[in-house]
Amino acid sequence: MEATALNAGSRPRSPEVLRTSNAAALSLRLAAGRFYRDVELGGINVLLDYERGCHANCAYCGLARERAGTYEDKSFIRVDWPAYPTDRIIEQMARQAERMGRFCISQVVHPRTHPDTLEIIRRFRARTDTPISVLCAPPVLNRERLQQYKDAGVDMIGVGLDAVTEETFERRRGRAVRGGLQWKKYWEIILRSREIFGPWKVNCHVVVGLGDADRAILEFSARARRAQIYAYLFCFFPEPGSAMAGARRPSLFRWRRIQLLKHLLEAGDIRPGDIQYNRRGAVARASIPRALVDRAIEDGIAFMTNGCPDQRTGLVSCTRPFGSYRPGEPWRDYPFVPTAADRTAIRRQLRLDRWVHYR
Amino acid sequence: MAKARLMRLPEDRYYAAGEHLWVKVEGGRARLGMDELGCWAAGSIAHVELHHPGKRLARVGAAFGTLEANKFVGALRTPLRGTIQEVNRDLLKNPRLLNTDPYGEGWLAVLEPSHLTEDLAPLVHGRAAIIHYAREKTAEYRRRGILPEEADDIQVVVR
Repeated sequence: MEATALNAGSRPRSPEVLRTSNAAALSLRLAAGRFYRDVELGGINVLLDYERGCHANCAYCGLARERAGTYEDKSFIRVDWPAYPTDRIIEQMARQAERMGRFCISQVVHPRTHPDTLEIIRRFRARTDTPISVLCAPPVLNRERLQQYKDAGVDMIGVGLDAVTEETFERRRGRAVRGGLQWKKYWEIILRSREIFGPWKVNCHVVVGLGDADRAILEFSARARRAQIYAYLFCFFPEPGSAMAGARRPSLFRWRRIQLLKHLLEAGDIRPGDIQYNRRGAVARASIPRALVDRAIEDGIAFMTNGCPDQRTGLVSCTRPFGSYRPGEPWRDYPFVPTAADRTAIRRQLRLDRWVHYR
Repeated sequence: MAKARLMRLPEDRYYAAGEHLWVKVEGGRARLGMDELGCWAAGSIAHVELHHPGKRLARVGAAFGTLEANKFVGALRTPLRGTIQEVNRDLLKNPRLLNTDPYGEGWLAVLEPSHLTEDLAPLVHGRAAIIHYAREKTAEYRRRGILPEEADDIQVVVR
């Protein structure tokens, strides 16, 4: 039961229409349905909507140009993204402002992306003060356009870098898949965004499971921290019909270990030299005080979704519940602080005795 | 003016209000399914698992399967004691049948009940009771934000 979702065909497109994540449609009371364990979601993700969709062709993405089906029918991050009139979405955000922590506009690679993003920001700003993020599409951006977003009221910029090495980027998003995306251009936009938006106002998405080794991911995370840029971890989920539909997800053990080590590195609790890797770059052993491991598991933050904050609370607003796993399987990232039972499961999944050397 | 949405609750069935399951007595057997409000409340249904035929359900509330939507998962709990005779294999392949045809192609299972009269007694049955159940639950789900705001336009149809 989706009360106002628009059907495909000759309907208007962005900026008059936006697609929302399935979770955002539930949270905004635009569609019927509920969240398992009564998860609350205040971070609303919307996606620009064009008839021919995104011009890129990333191997793991549901919106890839060469993936079979129309843009309308393509799932993205595991679920459908229903379309609603932009003004209706903004109205719902404004009416429920006390529950809303952030509005995030996800761009796609399309010629209309920049002017339409500006128009949507303008309409949104006219109705509500909720902070705005733009998850940007670097191929259509430059310094001037980023500055225009800031001037229009955007608070944070996200860059879906996804791969942390040029080799993996090329293999999954670049020439190898006729994707047309350029590693160099992504980095240019990350650095320009950092200059324009300032410290801790830029984030890079990093997908575990695209082919980058643990070492590359953790070293990237440490470098990002030094540059005062957030690295947000995502767990790869094979999107049906995408070029990587048959690829395996990272094991829960690997995923948990990366979550924990990234958290300890970012907190300054351990140094990169405390982690040893095997020849393939996978974590082999880490030397960590027992109290630090226990504390990290006990407070649970390491295992929560990485995402832009609700400025009122400082907590993650973009919690993306069940974004990279089905609700009926072991959770990958928690959209709330894990409970005692969750933490018991996390400790078991970490199999600490296999790789942690307590010092 | 927005078009009213129809919530259908066939009068020939019994309803387990807490579980949103319907029971239709067919001779000595009972067919089970999920009512339309339950399907709406779950959201877009992505996966259904059902126990195999032959499985004995010894108590009311015993799980006979699992329903998973995009953002929700929950056990299917029987309102009747008995033995599973048949499960809907088409539904296992195409879970969306629950959203599109909950009283027809989207049925869940057929039981051979062991205590039919006794187990039917607490279920919602009869036009007035069904309308009351639908209105109470709709109001609750609207309060909890499970139904969209347009849910004000829901019309309960019992026939």
